[in-house]
Amino acid sequence: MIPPQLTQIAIQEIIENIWDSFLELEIQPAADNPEFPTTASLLTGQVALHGDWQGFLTLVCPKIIACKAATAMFNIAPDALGEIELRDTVGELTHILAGNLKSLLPAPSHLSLPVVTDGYNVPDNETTVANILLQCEGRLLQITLFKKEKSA
Amino acid sequence: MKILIVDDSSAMRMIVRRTLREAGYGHLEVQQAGDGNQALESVHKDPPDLIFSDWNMPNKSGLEFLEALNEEGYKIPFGFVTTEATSEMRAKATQAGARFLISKPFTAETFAKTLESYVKK
Repeated sequence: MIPPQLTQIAIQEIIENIWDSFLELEIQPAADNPEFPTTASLLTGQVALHGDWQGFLTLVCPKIIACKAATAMFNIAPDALGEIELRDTVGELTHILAGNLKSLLPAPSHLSLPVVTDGYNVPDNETTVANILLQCEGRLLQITLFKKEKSA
Repeated sequence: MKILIVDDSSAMRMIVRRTLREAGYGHLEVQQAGDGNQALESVHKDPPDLIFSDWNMPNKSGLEFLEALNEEGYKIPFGFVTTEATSEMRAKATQAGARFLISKPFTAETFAKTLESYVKK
């Protein structure tokens, strides 16, 4: 069952708050339900939730947006950033998002550490609770929350 | 006055430092550690006056770090800066002796309000 408080608007508000507080970048829902460009240069952040509510969250972020986000977080020039900083940034953003979403889910539960991989790594064989496409600096980001059934 | 910032994300440590400056605490001497083990080592070498620690970290979590400090008899004011701020986590933090818990994302105003009890500007 999907918790009633876990609405698309609630998730969007959390993301907008994170983007505004830490990145000073605008992010808004993508218009007209576009297709996500899965073959673009992307990073996928993933955090698992264990406990009364089990599942995981993915954030798929174009590397160009990861670079802008890392520039804001590290406060250094883009050409001084490496792959480590981009992955750190996407991992931390995914973790903050998961931590904030956790407060809308049944307790107690806890978060895994974030894992960041290259490319589009969103499973298509899991139960999707929410899937949101957002637009930042003209690029699409995808946030998906999956639920895993508890094993007996 | 020295503050120890503990977080496995170097991006977040940068943001905490920047937010401290924005909150009017740019004069603080800052030490950094990437997990609870490194933080404990740092405390042994040069104890800070205040600790800001993430909760969820590899090797030794923030809570395990705080418990280790308690076992060793340290009385350094300790606060969590963490993504998870459920009532359950707040209760655990208080029970372990944390003075405050700041949830991410945070603002300079939150830092200023929290720190006024512990640090002079």
